[in-house]
Amino acid sequence: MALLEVKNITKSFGKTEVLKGIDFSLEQGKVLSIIGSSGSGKTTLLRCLNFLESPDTGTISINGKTIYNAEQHKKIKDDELRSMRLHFGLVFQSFNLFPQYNVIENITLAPKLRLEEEKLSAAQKKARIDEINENAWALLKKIDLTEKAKSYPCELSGGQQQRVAIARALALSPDILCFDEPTSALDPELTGEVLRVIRELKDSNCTMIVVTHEMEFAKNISDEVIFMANGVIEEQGTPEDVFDNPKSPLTQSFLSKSLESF
Amino acid sequence: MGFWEVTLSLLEGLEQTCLIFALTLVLALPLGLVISFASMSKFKPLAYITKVFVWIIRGVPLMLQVIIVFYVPGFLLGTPLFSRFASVIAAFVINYACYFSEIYRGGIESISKGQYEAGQVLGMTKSQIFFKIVLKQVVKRILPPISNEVITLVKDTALARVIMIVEIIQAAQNYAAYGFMWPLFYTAVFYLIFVGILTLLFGYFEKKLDYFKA
Amino acid sequence: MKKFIALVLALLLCSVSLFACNKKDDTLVCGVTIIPGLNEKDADGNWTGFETEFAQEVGKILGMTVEFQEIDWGQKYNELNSGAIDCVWNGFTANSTDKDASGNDVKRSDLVDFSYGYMLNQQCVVVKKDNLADYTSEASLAGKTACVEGGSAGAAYVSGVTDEDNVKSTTSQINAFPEVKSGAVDFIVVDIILAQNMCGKGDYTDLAIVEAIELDSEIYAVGFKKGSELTAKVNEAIKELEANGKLMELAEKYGFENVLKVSETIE
Repeated sequence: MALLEVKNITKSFGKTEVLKGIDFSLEQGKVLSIIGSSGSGKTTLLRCLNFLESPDTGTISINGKTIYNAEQHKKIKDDELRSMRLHFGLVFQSFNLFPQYNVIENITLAPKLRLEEEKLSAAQKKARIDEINENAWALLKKIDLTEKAKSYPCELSGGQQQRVAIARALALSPDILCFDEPTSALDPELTGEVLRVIRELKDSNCTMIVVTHEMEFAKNISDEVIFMANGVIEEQGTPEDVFDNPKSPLTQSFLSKSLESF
Repeated sequence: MGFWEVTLSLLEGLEQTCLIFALTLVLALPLGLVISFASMSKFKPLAYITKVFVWIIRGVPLMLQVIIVFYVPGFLLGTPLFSRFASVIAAFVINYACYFSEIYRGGIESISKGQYEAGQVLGMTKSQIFFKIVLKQVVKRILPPISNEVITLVKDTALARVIMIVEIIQAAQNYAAYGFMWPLFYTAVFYLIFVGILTLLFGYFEKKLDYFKA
Repeated sequence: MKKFIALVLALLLCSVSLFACNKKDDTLVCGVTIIPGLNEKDADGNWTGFETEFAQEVGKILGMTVEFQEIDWGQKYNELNSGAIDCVWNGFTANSTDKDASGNDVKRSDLVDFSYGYMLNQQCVVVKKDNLADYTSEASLAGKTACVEGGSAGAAYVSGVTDEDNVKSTTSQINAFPEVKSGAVDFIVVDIILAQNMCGKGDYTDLAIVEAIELDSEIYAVGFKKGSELTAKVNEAIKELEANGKLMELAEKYGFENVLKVSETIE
């Protein structure tokens, strides 16, 4: 059974139909890349998966369990929304670290806030906090920023900030980690360190959806590629299928333009 | 009319000045936040009513508001509803809360959407996002305009004289009845010290928040 | 978030109810400004002066506790009409006028109810001592700049003797003194009782009353809100104090024996 199953997702802003019925599924431990030109709807799709936008129609299921159904979720309660969101992590194009917290606090803030909502004895609480801190340090080691634990975001380079943002998203152990053009806001020489972290995550069997403009990276890392155009999935398949033998003329012209720019 | 006698009686006036100042701040700072929430409310009628209210309060001189709060209930009922001091506090709190609310609104709206969304995808509640993430960044941004308002408040307390709260200027003015003008000029020293302390305090707060960029 | 808003609103309501005003029926609240000799505070902060003791004697007869509330003279009608004070008992010239909202003269007796008059007053001209020789008659005021209390009897007087552009108004008589001392204006017109207490003292050693110019006399009375039941009661008490000699005793104590005069009409 697929880990993630997305069926018939549509989304309109006013009269503009941005998503016109999206269906796809993703297996545990696989990496899906979504490519396409600006305005094709790929970022909106990602935001729908994280419930920053609520889809107008369609369903989203995790492990066969439907967590979102547009029919039943016309009005979603805040609590419900929060638990739905926890299935997904999101790494933003512009990092969005919390500037007043240092690196380790950025990573531990959300788990600690969740802990406060639970009714626990002092001893249990202490144990859980230790667990959260340990986990955060482990993540920090993974992104190779242990020595920056007490630094504030303004003291870090863009690449370092984005690596912290990845660790922050992982701290809540989401089922699927999403990236929204994670390297677009970075200087070219800093993209490498972020892409390296994503590649390491793939090696540790992390399920990921990556919206990206880095064609070379998408080709290398993905198990599956979706090319979106005008709010629909125009082409879908393995990297070899989509990049080397594109069938749709839209895909072909997009790829040739993308390659031109390099 | 010795120097110390005058100083002591001005210090008594200063006590009233400080009391008006402190009570106004303690009540108007949180009330301003509530008003700013109302003016940004998604429920449009509430937002519009709040904006009109803020327009009226900011558009009418504070001195007139003090007079209205104290005298008008008396005109209608034959006896004043609030004591002189309570009227001053009520007028000052409402007036300053409206000014603060606009500063808060500016600060809150200047925080990028990304900060809210980052909180949302990490499963935080709305109030966790506001109090744990947004508020401190807002505070850092609004500290300079707030300090401006607070310093203005120190001097606005002199308006309480209009319904005869004996604050420091009025205490000095009473000496004028005996032909002494210098106590009035002497009050400037007290104001300067008061504002000097506040300036240092706000400088300290700004430095405290210097460690991050927002 | 909702909790926070509720907390703030609750806090405000509590503080308002704490400050709510409760005035008692058996107190007589007199609105006063500080005028040396009439209403002033001694070194311990207790009220003294002729008007103070006069009001306290009347209070004794009526069985009321007398309280003194300092007021802004310009707000005296608001203070009365809102019930914040019961009367203005503070050298209140009864046979004078005030300007209404559109600038027309209105008799004070149309705005408030007056008790019997009890003391004669006069306006007088005050100038710098050095210039005293220049002021020999009313004619010498022509073309000079003046400062008066807005709406006072003095204001009515100066408009007749000098050009209106030369006249500056202040909010109280007290505030007219620095104007003439600093040289901002040439002369001021104020109550003679006040001027006698101010000229030659404190910062005003260089000011003097122009004896050569004598103005019409006025009368002081206690002002009440229109229709107040207190007016008649206070009048009776004034009569009683006149009859038993207590009033003259007080006048002598403060040096006003020559101007004390109880009169049932104030025009």
